[in-house]
Amino acid sequence: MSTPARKTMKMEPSTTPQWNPIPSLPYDLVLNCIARVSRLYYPTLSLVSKSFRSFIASPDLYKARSLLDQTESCLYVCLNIFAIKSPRTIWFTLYPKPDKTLTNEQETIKKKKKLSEYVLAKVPIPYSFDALYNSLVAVGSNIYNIGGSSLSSRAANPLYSSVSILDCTSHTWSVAPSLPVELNSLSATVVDQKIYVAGSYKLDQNISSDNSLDSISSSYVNSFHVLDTKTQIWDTLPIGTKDSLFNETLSIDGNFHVVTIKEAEGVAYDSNEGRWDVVGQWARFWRSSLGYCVIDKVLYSAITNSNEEEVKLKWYDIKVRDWRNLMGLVGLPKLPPYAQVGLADYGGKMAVLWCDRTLPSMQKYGRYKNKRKIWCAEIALEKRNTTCEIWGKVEWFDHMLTLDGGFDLIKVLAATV
Amino acid sequence: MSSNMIMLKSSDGASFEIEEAAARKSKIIANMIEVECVDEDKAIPLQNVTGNILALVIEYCNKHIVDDDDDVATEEASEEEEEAKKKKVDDWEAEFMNSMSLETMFELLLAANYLNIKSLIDLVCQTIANNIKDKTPEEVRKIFSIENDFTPEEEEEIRKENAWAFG
Repeated sequence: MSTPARKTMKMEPSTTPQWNPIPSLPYDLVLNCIARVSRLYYPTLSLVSKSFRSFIASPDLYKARSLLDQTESCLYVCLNIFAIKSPRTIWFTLYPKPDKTLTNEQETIKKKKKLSEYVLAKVPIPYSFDALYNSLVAVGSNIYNIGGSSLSSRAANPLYSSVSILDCTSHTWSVAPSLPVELNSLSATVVDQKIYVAGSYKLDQNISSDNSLDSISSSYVNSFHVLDTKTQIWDTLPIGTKDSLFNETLSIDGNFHVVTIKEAEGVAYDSNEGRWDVVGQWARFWRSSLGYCVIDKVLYSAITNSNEEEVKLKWYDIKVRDWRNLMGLVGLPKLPPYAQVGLADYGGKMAVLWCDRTLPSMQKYGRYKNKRKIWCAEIALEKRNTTCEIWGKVEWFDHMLTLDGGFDLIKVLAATV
Repeated sequence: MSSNMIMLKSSDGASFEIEEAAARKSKIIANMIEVECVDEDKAIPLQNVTGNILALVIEYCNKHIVDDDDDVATEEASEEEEEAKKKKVDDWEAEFMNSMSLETMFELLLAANYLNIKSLIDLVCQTIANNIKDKTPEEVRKIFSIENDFTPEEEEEIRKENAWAFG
């Protein structure tokens, strides 16, 4: 009988690299072990040894995490900093607090107060493209910035076509195929790993002297495109609507929805049938929404009431075409009026980020003496079918950051890493 | 299911009798049975596994073969029953892994890898992962017997680079 060959697990790792971070174990077992460690601890592991450091940044490891179904949702927060000399876009990500020396007493207090074990840490990217709320989408471990341009060029005559990708495993930017057209405004949404973009561009650069709304809108042409993130190929979609776009798009029930300025309608693209359908009224809602996200095909939004005194988390009941309050939310602080709010699908739970909005009178360069706090909460969601309600349970909330007032909360996204 | 018994022999000469169904948890042994290179009177020699580790492997296989039989018998078990059963297995596995030192765990992992028992490989890897997740770099080095090849300056440099991740 022959000696059984040392058979490896069915992960088909690429060839064993020259370096193996744990010499006493076969490489595929090392992959199997470390892939199961939460990514939150990787910065610590990168300090173990030189080969460990290379290993933690290697594509092999992220491939193994994916094969072993060990990927995690990682929250990313994009801010635009206003500064005369260097306006810039910066990114933060949620990481666990490094202090492990809490006494039992502190631990109990922390649990009682539902404080978090997290911090928002600045992501070490040397340079980031300018980003707008509707230009950012997450697909797997990548965050796409559709039409990103540098802040300096933004002021002039912005035309968006370039596409950049932030790889959240390595925190580096790369360039993706540009949009087939240059757009003056756009909004992107992910449906089934595909990025749908609705936008418009100016047909004639000479604006007529007649400045009525009609003539302005008629000089813009809508265009609709879709990027298959697997093949990285752009496709052109039929024109969904000729109405002016509100520059808001979203995915509901697996369809790409586009909101138009017209009070009446939005349109939805049925990718199976390859056709656009007119759907109900959206516009009224967008004007009072401070932020929204889609979790498990349900649209959630932070909505201000008519006198802008209160912000409520609501969800859209597609059956009755109306908004319902998210129930529960025990312990969640009141979201301040004029808040900037970001909502994100955080692995099936809802991440809510909020900060006070700077008052309009203060929005001039160099006058941000006040500090603004950024808060975060994680909310578990539970659908109750019998009563047709959705309940939110606050898992934790905490004050995450205090920054000088001169910034805009652009977007909160979750990448899967 | 037939309860054919087969013999396994560890590298240090200890013999173990095990039900064929349990032994088949190991793809290597299952393959050997398939191609009939198992002589019923002779023990299968496992050169890379010592007796104390082989005993653990057999304990694991025996436990899980019983579970597989249960699955067949109660195919229409309710969700709650399924959950309760899964919890029982999880509890057993936690207890099983808790009972051994890290050193034993590594030996068990190598044995599971050699015998190609996927679920055991995954269980041990998960336990090791849970063990190292909130350790300091120095503690991780100790666990895996890794030498620190950073100079103090290099280490300081990386700590600085990583400062973002430490708040």
